[in-house]
Amino acid sequence: MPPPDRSPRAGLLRRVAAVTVLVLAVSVLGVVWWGSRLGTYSVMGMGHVVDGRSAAPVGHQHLSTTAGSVSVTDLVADPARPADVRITLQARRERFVIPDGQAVDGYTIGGSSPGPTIRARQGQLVEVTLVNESVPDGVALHWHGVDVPNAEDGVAGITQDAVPVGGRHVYRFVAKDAGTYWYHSHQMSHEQVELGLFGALVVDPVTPVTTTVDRLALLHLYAGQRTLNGHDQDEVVEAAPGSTVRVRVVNTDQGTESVWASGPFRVVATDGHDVTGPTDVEGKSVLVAAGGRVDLEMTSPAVGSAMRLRLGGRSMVIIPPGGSAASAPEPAQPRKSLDLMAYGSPEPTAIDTAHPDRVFDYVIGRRYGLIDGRPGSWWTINGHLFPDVPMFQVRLGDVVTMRIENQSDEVHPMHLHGHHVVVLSRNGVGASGSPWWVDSLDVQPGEAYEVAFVANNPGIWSDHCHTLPHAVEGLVAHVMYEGVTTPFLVAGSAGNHPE
Amino acid sequence: MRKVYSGIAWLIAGLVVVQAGAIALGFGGMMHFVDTGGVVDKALTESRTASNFTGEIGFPIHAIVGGLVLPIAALLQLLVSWFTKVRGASWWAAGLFVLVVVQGMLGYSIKDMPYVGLIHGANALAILLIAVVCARRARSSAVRPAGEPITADASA
Repeated sequence: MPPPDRSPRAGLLRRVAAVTVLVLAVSVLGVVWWGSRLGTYSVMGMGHVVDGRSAAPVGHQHLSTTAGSVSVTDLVADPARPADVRITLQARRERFVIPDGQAVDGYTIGGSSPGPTIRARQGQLVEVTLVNESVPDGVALHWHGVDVPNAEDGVAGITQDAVPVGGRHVYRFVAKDAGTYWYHSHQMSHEQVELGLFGALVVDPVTPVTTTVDRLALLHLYAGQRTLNGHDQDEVVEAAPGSTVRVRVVNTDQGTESVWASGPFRVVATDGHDVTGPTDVEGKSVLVAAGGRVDLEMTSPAVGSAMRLRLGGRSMVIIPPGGSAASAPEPAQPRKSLDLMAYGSPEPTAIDTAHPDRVFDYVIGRRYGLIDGRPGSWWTINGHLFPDVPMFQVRLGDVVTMRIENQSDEVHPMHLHGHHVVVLSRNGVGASGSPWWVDSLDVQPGEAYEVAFVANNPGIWSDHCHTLPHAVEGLVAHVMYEGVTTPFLVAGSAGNHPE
Repeated sequence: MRKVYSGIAWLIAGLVVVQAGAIALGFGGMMHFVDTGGVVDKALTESRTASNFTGEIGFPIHAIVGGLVLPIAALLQLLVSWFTKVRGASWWAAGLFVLVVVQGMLGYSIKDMPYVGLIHGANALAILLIAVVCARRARSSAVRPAGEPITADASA
């Protein structure tokens, strides 16, 4: 190689070239950064439409607003029908004290956190009036696991505007399915849910079973404080020996909770759907995905003994009346967990999954990039960063199968709004137990689940990770019915920020 | 450039010491938390609202320094090495960069394959050693005769 030309003219040329390259590089980076900013947008124009008929994207087209289109605001429960259960919930930004614990700067709903448990009978129409007294960012209430009409889904920027301070919003829906559910804010949800804006919703069957002791186990971490039903302490449940105790575990946290016990128990429901033929579980834990619920049943122990149910970091001790909770053994954490895909007895599901109308892929990955102008290592869906994520397009009545694959290094509790999905297979191995219905499904790294659902609830539905900070980091897509439109905008003057 | 080169090398060596301290702090604090009845699970690790136990800060320090700061420092070291007149500087810097990248990949794999942790620890010591060698070579290495092209360094 000859020695470099060191004449002044060459030096000047080199400097001009260097400056030009630098300016170009900075300009390109600037354009990329500017382009990644989200600003105000409608989910209808977001990402790329996937029609699922060929399992391939049909290009960057947007759903057409045809003459026969229907707005999400029209997808409501029968407005003429009077409500059976009525409740008003005030949302506040305030400091409150966890009973037996420390004060938390957070949010309350209906005067406390957790908010009051809403209890309805199957088939009743529930009407909840949300009043925002002092939540500066606004509030919206989502009915997690309840397949409500789309207008009642409570997702700010998609099904409504966030309710500003002083505003109110009425939610009306029929509690079609008996089971354990919960409600929480879907405006700035990663912050408002973590800091208290949630509560439980229980739908009893038409003929309630009165012989069992029925308890809620609402789990939440408030700034490091482990709570069970809002208290920073364990609970003691008294039940006559031999009677059946039902414990409804609700995971309102951002990660999986593990549940195990010192004696046998049965998993009688997952995410508000009954398990057929549940058998005794011993020496195994049950994992509850973030946002998920499991209903457990156990037989109350005999006089002189006690049973401990470990609920993540808290316990519930079941004793006969007048018994001593101190005698409850501390069960070692099992190394194995129950595989709900092979639990209970098989039963046909009435979904013809052999001939699905739509087949979708939801592949979760991770890479460096920009989301809303912020550089970082963000989640990807089918290889794309938010907002260039798939818009899964369906038509009313379609049978849909979806393959959810996790190629990232963290577990993701995937939550589809407005529908329940049944698990068909995991890593190619078919489900062999009771139909496993979920609305919040933990997909571990390296796992690929195939799930199915019937598109029977028109609307625009969020399909996201319920580790809520992950949703902020781009793990959100939507299922959109053909012909459904929304007048609402994310961001915009209402300041809608669903995640 | 020689000073910058040796400065970054010392910085990398120092950051390895920070990494060892941070992870010990994190695990020490966690064990104390567990001893006093605390439970560490996914629900806790995904909760981002508060510090749950003393020493918890050790984990994010280890993640940020190992996943971001050290790779950037090693990359800078490699870039600087092309403009420094130290014999073999680029080769040493390239080796260091490879070890740092491998270290990050090992770190991310520990969760799936815990035994990888054994290599992660040993590789940390290798990074420390090479970083110190880089820094010392920059100080003691003979300067090339004037006029010798800089590019010869990278292909030496």
